[in-house]
Amino acid sequence: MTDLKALADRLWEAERTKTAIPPLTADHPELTPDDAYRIQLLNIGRKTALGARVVGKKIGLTSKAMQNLLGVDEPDYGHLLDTMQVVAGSPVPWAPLFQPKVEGEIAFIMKRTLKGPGVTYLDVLDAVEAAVPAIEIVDSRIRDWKIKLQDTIADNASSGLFLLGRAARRVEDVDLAAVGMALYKNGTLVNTGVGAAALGHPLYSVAWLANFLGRFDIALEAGEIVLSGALSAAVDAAPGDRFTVAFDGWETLEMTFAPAEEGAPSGAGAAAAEGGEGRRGG
Amino acid sequence: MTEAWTEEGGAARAVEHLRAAVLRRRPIPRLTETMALSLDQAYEIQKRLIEVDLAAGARRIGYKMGLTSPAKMKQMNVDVPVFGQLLDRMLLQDGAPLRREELIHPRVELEVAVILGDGVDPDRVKTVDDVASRIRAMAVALEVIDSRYEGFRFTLPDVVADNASAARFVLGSAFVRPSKDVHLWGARLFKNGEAVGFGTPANVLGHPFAAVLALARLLAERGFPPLAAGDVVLTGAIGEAVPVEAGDVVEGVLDHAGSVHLRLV
Repeated sequence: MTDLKALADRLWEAERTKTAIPPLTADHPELTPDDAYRIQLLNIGRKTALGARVVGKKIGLTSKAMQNLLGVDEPDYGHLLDTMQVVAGSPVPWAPLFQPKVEGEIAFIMKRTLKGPGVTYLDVLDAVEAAVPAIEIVDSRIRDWKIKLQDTIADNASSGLFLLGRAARRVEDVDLAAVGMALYKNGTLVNTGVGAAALGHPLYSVAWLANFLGRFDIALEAGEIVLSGALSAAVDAAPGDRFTVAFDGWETLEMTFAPAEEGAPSGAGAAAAEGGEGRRGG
Repeated sequence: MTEAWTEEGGAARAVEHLRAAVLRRRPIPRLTETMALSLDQAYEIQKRLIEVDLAAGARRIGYKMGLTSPAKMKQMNVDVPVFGQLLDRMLLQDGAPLRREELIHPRVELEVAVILGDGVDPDRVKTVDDVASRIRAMAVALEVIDSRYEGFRFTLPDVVADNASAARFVLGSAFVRPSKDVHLWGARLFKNGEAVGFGTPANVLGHPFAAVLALARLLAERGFPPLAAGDVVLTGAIGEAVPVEAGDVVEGVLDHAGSVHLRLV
């Protein structure tokens, strides 16, 4: 039996001391995806015990390219905590981050609780309050992003921070699969995508998550935020970088990382559990 | 005739035949070749047929209308459309592959799907305007029909008993707000890139929302629960059903509502 608690401790310490670690699978190749989800839940449990609040879920590995890269054929998911949400306008503090990358996504706000199995995309349509453009800042506590599936799952699906737009729309007011997205770094186009990049349709992606969570007897709760998956490849970020993510006819999101020296000194602690400047508390 | 039909366990036998056709993917002779069937009895068979699926864990997510075009009604010599029941397991994702071998002799139709945001009580919902106010969203849809009868030939009671030939359906990626002009929206059906059908949803009882009204009345007549929020309704074929085989790619395009795709593999 693998000591899952010990592996959870490694990730916890990595975050606390702001020191990236080797992949868990390097010395524990026997780790299963289910083990990895248990590790994820152990650390989420620790953070909520310290006062953080689960505000939603994120779906990862929704593109064929990412799935091929990790040799998997289905997405994964992680938890969104209130401490991970950044607000528009203020610079995103650099100090708590390891090796962040930026993605444009479509987020949903749940109106009704949704629980698998047997959830269709029509059920999702029915259960969703609104869709809204979002930026996800993914990050990895694993050195140089040398992740296998189990590593990213254990590390909360490589979650970092996220920013929600303000232009919430009803699902019938935007063609979610067709909407175009362009991502700019410091004013230069880096990549583009469309809604269909998230598992064919952002609603299909949420249906996958609801059904997947159903296997663990977990529901997508009313009021939760769901990040439905990246619409293009994640883009490396550096201190001071400014990102612009434009969604056609919908909303353009802006986000700037603080210069490195403005953040707290390295080793400041497990930011996700403690919150910090530029973040929204519970 | 009805009594004899009941005594012989006619409904149970009909259900068995139809289920065997689905499971073996082999067509059966028309029920009406060996039993006299009234429309009431046909709906009773459909009800029992679907109850088997429901008991096995399927969920009913809506209804489909059939025989809604003037041409079809004339061909079948009827003046009232029919309905079938849609189960969660029939719903496909846009562009998803459908295995040809799961079906007997599939055909594809282009339709308007509506998703209800509110119940439709036929005592209170009487006009197309009333229906519009009960609809949350519409989508372009491809319906895959697959008669369980040899030669895709049947009488009215046969097709009703066979759940109106319902097999699979897929909705386009865009969900749009209801519009009373939908009956004039241009619809195009393509098979392997070639246009095989043009028309507008006015072919559906004059207006797709009229099909929802007709459905609400039929459900009440037949003792079904009334249409509720979240139900999906396939309102009826806009044009001819197109036979499909493995390797075929079908695309439906509805002006103002985007497109929908199906791949037969």
